[in-house]
Amino acid sequence: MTRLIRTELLKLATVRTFPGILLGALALILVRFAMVVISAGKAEASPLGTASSTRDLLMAVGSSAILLMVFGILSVTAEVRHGTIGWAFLAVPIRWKVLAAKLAAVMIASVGFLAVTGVTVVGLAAWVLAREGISSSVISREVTAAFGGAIVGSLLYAALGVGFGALIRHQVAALMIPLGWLLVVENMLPNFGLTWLYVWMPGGATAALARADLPGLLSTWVGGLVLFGYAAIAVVIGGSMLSANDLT
Amino acid sequence: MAAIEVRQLTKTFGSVVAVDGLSFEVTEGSITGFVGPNGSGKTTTLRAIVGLVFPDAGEALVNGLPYPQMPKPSSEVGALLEGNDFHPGRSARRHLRVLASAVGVPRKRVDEVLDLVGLTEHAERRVKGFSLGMRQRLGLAGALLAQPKTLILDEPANGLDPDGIRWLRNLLREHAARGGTVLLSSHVIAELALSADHLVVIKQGRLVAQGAVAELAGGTDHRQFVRVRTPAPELLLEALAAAGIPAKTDGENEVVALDASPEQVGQVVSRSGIVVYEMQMDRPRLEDVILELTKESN
Repeated sequence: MTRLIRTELLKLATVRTFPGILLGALALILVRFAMVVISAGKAEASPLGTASSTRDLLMAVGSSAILLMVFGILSVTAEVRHGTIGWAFLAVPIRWKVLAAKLAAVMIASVGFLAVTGVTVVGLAAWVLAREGISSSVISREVTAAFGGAIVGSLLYAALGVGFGALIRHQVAALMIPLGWLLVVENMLPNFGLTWLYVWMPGGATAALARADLPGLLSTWVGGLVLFGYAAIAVVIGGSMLSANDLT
Repeated sequence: MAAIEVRQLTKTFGSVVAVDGLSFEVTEGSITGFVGPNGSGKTTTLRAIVGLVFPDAGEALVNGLPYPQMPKPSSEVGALLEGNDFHPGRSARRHLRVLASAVGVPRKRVDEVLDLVGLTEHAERRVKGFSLGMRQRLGLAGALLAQPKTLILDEPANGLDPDGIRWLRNLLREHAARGGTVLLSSHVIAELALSADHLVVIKQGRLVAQGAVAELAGGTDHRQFVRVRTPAPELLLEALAAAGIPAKTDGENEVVALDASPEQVGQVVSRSGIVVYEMQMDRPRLEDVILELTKESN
């Protein structure tokens, strides 16, 4: 299995797409962080040093979640699109092993990425606060828990992406369906009085995990478990379909 | 001993029967051509042998085992299949390194196969800039990477120039000479006549013929024929019929005497006093035999 995981990591490292997505995700995090700093104290935004703005600074790391999901989706669909999946299944005919190795490789890459970006964001936040003469004690336990939740949520999004990729496989559909659901459909649910449904959806579960300030959210642990459940279901169903379908 | 055994293989896609109870064997140490018209089920059969397509019934075994049950399948079977492609952004060397990592062969083997297929100087080029022939060579490099004894190749000569086709023929011949087995599909029958020992001919997913190339080329209804150019084809037809030699006209001034020797036809011509401009013996070409075996009315 170690060899297969190494192979999948090699696949991610030998084309520009995957490092490009991670660089894009890093840029997104930095832009979000900069916007929180620039907008602090203006209009309705809290000034720096408050629990709310400190939380917003650290939560910039969560901006990468969607791109990590895209990373996971493309790890499977790019192989289908370019016809390299046939080589993978010829080398390892037990298709579950290929998907498991792919999931492990995406998780390893995501953990590495989140470790680097997490440290970067915390370092930048400490520097910004110090520059403003604000004690780092504003990084409360609550803020730390939300930060941890955003990191775990982002990781689960990457796993969710691998599952979606295996489930849908057609690259455009595999990208459009989850993105459309998460960015459009789910966000509209509270507008239709369906908040009770929204909180059980992946976006609602992520908000719970990141301790967002929204009414009716699930507890952090339940939110995490729900998101994990979605990722696990997507991987299991996607893996079963990948194993059962002909590769023509 | 059979290196590949296909037994009663059946595969349908929706209402289309791609392979219909197909059975054949490929002898170890031989090159076997797999022939049939477009849509006759060749690619589906080859994909079923290596576990990429799941048959509805029947089985395909390589060295006595279904491909997915082999402990190290790539070390036993190397496959070049239509549809198995490359990431356009990866270089040839990187594509092979990924494969080498997956099948567990050392990196130095990558440079060996690049050299073997003549792609060393293009190793760092991205595949998106490759010609069809170069892609075929890279595909062959992938199939040869783990030094398998059995090769399964779907249209390997596609896109190769004449030099490339000769190179491929020699490569396959050397592989078979070392005891290796090759099953290859091709539309280029003339090439198969030169490189293959045996042929498996299918039509609409069913076996229509199997045997040695020489046997198939000469073993149809008409083993040989004599072509005669004459200004009196009708008279010649009558004279041949009277001598018990079946014959038919071919064009305005030609008569083809079937299953007859030039001596027999010459005597008939001499006895009847018919003017003849030209007479030559011919044998059916493999291409004609295959076309006859797979034509629509069969």
